[in-house]
Amino acid sequence: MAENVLVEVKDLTKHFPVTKGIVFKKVITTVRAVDGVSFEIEKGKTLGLVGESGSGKSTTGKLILRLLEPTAGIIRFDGIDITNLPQDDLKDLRKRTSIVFQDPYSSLDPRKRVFDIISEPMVIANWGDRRKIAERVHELLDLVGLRREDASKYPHQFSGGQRQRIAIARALALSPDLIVADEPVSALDVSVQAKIINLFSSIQERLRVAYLFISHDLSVVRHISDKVAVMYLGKIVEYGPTDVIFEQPLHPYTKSLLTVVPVPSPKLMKNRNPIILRGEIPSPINPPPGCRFHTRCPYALKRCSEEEPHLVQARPHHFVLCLFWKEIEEGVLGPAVR
Amino acid sequence: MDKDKVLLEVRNLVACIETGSGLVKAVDDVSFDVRKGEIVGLVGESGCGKTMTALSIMRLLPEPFGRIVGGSIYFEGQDLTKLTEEEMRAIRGNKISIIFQDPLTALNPIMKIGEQIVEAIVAHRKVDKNEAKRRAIELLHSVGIPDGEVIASQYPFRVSGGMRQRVMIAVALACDPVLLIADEPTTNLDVSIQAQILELINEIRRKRGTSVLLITHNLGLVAWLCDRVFVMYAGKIVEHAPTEALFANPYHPYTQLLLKSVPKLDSPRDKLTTVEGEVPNLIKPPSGCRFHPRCPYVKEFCRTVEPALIKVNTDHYTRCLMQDSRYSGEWK
Repeated sequence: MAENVLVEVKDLTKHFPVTKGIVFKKVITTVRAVDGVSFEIEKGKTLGLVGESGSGKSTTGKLILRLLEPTAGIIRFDGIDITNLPQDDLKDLRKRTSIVFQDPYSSLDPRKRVFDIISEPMVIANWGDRRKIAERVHELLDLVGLRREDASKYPHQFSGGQRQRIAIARALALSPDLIVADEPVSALDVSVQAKIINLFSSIQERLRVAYLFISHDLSVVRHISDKVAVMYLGKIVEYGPTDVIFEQPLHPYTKSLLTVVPVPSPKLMKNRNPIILRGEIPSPINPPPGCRFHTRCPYALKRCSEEEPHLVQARPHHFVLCLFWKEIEEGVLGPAVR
Repeated sequence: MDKDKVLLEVRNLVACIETGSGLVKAVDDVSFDVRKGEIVGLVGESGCGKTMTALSIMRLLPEPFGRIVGGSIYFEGQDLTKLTEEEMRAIRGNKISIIFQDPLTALNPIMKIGEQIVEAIVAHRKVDKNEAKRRAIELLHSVGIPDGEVIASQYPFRVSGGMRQRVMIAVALACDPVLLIADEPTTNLDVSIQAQILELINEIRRKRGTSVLLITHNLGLVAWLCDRVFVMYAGKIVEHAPTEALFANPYHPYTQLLLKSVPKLDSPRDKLTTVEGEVPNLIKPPSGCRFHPRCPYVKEFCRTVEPALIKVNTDHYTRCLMQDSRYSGEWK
């Protein structure tokens, strides 16, 4: 494993059982939420994980923090295989990782003061005495752009953006190496969103913390990520450096998404030719055979419903999960006319 | 402006809402118009009064807590604010329809989808049940639900979010309205589904000539669909213009900052420009220009002088003293 890699994930899989009955539980089927994904997160860098609801991006985030037990696959954190570490041995991992959730209204305990919210991880980890902790809380408040007086307030006294700052301060308390940020700006207004994105960037510059930045918003992901993984129905369909993914996408799903993201430029919107996918994301309970995207893919051929594609390296550092990426790229295979 | 073509004209609308901490003038002297066959955007951040404006037009403010306290809303020549509830009911859902952000709460959970569309039809049209049913299924087809017969017999919770939004659009279109108000119609939807719904709205305008008032916080949607756009801030319209003019040449500092603070697909990864401070509390709105506490160009008199909407170009107006000839010299 390369020196600069913090997290390495190989064929990570999570199947949730769907059960029937209350006393005599019977597994009737499984939801294949994450199905064999592989990626790396470099130290101090950001991996953006994009996908629509139900694509498995949040599950992936929770798996690498061991908040969920993986069904199969390997997770290495800083060189150590943490896939099967027993809960008791996870303490070190817990100190070195943390998470920021989407909704700062439900992720902060309404009955606790900001001071207690931010200091809780330090108290649990026996990080230091009360005075040292108080100093650290003040330092963190400075870092996220809140006032020191705010420490004695309750979450309800803050706006959404400020609450997200509190959540970020809490996540930074033990100076983690990795923060999983699960849709951290989706619930915020445009002008507030920009501030929180800037905050994430400036914190990374100063503290060299790595992010797994989960979002459905391609513009946000483009802005903040060094590398991007696009997920669809439990699989990574495209993975590579941000600029490459956004400027030369290879997978038909990524290509389509990039043509339908609303961008605040009427000129750009007028000149582009939106590829609108038909139908909806299928259920992960019974994903389509072959390529999971074939039911919505404008390029799909018969082979796509029979043969499962593997992630192949199309260009340096650029991976794609499509049987016909080359033919599409060379213009041999065009979209179906509808 | 061609007066014949104006369908909806909101003039000096003032609407208040009573909250636990005081009376809020959520819509403060708002004027705009929607012409026939046009898609007009009303953009702003949460709490700027855009939804209150929509509810005022529909006369759906939660009385007695919220009410229209001034101004008029002319629709096809009559002032909606003066109508009785009964007269209004003949227009609502018939000539003007609304689609809300969250279809799960807007649709009746214990009524089958088909029945909800039928209900909307028979409320305004003298047709028998069978004819209404036939029309309901036709409507489901027209909003892109191919197996309308199957979906019509389902309850809303059984279908996906995108599908529910289509159903709500079908209910809204039941009586072929001339004005469709869409309040954040795609905010809860995935990108690929959002694209489907936006194209559907576009198609409805194209095929039926329906005017649309699109209420959103997303400037991308405005760029995609709207012919003209009105920007709201703290209860007031601060700028309005044809869409291309507004994006190419925004005059109001708030519009400028809003446009710059959105991460774009094609922009470099610099620091995003942000608007300092927070949206003001409307119980006690800032004096003078409402944007002055956050404005990077603020001058002393901005705190006291209330700016008027000033024409800066054809059909392009802005509420900023920088464009007011009596004050603009101060910025030179």
